[in-house]
Amino acid sequence: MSERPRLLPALSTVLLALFVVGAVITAEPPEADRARAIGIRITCPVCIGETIYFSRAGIAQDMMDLVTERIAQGYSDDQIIAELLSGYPGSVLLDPPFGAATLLLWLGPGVALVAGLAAALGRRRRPPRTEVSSPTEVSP
Amino acid sequence: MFSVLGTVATWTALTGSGWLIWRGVALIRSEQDPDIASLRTPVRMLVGGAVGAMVVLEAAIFANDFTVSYVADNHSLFTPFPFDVATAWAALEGSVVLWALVLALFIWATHRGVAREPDRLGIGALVTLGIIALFFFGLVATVANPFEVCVEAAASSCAAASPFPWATASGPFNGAGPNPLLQNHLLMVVHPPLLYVGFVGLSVPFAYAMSALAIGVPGTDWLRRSRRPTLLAWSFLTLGIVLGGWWAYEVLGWGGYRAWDPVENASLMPWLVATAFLHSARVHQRRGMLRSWNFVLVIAAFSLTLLGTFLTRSAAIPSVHAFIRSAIGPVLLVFLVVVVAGSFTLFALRADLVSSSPRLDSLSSREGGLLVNNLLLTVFAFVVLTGTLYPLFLEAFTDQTVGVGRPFFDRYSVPLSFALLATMGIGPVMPWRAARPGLVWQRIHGPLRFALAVGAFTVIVSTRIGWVVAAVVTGSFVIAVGARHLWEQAGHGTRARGTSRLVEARRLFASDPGYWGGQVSHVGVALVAVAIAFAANLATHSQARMEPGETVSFAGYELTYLGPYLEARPDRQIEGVRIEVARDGEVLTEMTPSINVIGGIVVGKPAVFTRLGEDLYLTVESISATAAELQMSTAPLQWLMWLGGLLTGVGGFVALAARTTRRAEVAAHV
Repeated sequence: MSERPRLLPALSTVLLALFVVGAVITAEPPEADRARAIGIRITCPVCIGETIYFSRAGIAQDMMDLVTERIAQGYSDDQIIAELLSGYPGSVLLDPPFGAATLLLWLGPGVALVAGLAAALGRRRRPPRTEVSSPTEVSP
Repeated sequence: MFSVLGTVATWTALTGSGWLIWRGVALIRSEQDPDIASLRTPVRMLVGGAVGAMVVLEAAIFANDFTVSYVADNHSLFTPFPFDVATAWAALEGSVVLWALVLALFIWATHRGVAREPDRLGIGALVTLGIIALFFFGLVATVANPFEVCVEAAASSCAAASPFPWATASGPFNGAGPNPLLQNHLLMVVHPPLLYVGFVGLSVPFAYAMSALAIGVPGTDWLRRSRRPTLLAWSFLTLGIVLGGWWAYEVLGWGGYRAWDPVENASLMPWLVATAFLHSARVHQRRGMLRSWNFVLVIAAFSLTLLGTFLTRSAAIPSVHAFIRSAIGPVLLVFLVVVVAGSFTLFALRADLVSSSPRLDSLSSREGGLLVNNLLLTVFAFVVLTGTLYPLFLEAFTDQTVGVGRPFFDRYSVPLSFALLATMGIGPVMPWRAARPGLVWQRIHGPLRFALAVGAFTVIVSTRIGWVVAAVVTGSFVIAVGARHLWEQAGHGTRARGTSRLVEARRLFASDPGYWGGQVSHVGVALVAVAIAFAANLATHSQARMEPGETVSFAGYELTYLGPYLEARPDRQIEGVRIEVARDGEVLTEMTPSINVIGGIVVGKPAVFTRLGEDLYLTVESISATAAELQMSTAPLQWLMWLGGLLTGVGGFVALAARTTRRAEVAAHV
């Protein structure tokens, strides 16, 4: 069996990939459900760890009604969120904005990933300067 | 009487733990060959006491003995079977008893293993487990004592209790029963025990690691001996998490299965780290690499289970899972700090034992793939940990409040999951040491084309949403690579021996159960990933106010409100609505979402109608004489999530079971 990519399989793979990627790129963006997008970012002030979109508490539904109303009136997402947070004390934004207080939260995982990657690559054996025979392969 | 028996059982187990530690340390320090027989009695006391405590608790519940404080607070005469059985671990004190019982069973199994290999490493592991048991039975004996005597009754609970079993008892006539949310679905009876086997089982690899470090046993012995308990714990943890999500879906009534709730995160973190450990242990055994990393992972996994226990029982964070605030929180926190500080100190002192691993030849190799997998899994766990604890720490140190929820987690978990899926697809077919690109291409180009074809099919018949198509393509890729590899490997045997591919596939599973069990789990994870992508992007949701006889259209269904119904049971009152579901004029089924009132508390009970393409999910908000308010959702391919999740866990059991089969086969041949 040849181990070098042959033309036909390679070509069909590329064509299939182009078709799938093309279909996804040219797809109409799904109708943005702005009320839902806002609703799942804010917790309901009286219930435990639930967002206003999913909560069945009366106050959560009032808040969702307000969101729908403000969207119809042409408010921006940030304006609506600000109004909800100030108008309903106890509700919390679950998507904390990037800032001084949340610096570690937002950058921590990235730093960990980069540090881990550096450590992993650092463990690599230095490649020999002259080309020696490649290491033996062990199949599983 | 039950208070007396329970107290005796607890103290028997406590004594057994102390005795096990004392005898074990003496054996390790003695110069002669360790005589394992002297550990039998303390282990028997420990296990007997633990089983006894649980039996007494169940007996007190079944005897409706409300003079026992735990029974008074958590049981009622009307709690139906099997929720009365589950009452024994539905609340804080009982859950600690279950925890201690599972730990005792793992100690029993470890002791059996050590009896076969009576060496210092095994005895050290037993001592470590004994210390953990001492702590948990200590909790049962003090701050989490379910056997206290109720000395002053309240209306339907216990107002004051005494830890002395001879105190004069005065219990209520009936209790309020367990949390109504926990009495709504059978899954709640099995979810906690499964999860506990998973959590507690992770103490065994921790115990072997600590033993290897403390006694100074180099090599991979500790990995080999903790592999089976780790696999068992991991499989149960997987099933526990999946069934927890299923329960949330069937009971909580918002149509979802996971909300990045802190306590859900508490079980995800040890799962991620334990998964990383299962993979990196293989690298250590096969190539002698990642020696110190394995210790770090095992310590982290065990500490994260303790963190999870602390989070659920300390009321530190608001959550549907949180037990009531109690004195146990600070005690658990102290133990957690001691464990983390102690184990890492030991690890640092023994740096000589774990250093000087061989280096990586090439990142493009099996061990390179496993290294990337470990990096991604631990960063994933780190994201979950930061997101869960950040609000707590920020509030403690700066007085600012932030919330961290699904939007934050999604931002990191989605790219990490795709990277993991890609690694899962390519990694398992890369050879050890160094992979020639030609060989890897040969093993993946067919599956890649297949995956793209499935993607094209999805685009044509279902959706063109990028995330969904990407998940379908990567998921199918993982499955196809595994299937192709099995087919090809089995083919070698078929040509050599002329047997069928099925026989050869079974031979392969028996010859390397860890690898092929892992492939089964990979298929499960790939299915879950596809299901998550569909659920996150294509679920629909709406609400309606309906009068009897009225029909509304939703997502292609015609829903007709036939009328309300009322059902009174001893323990609950059920108010529901009957909804006829039709599609294209054909009646499919009748659904009955309801509102249950249990002990004065209102709990919704959604109705789920599962079809091949999607679930129809109905919740009733309110029912009046004239109308009912209904929440309607569709959840696409929801069954795929449960199937994939269960398959993931089954992969772990395959790895365990195949090993046993092979041992049996070897025995048969000898």
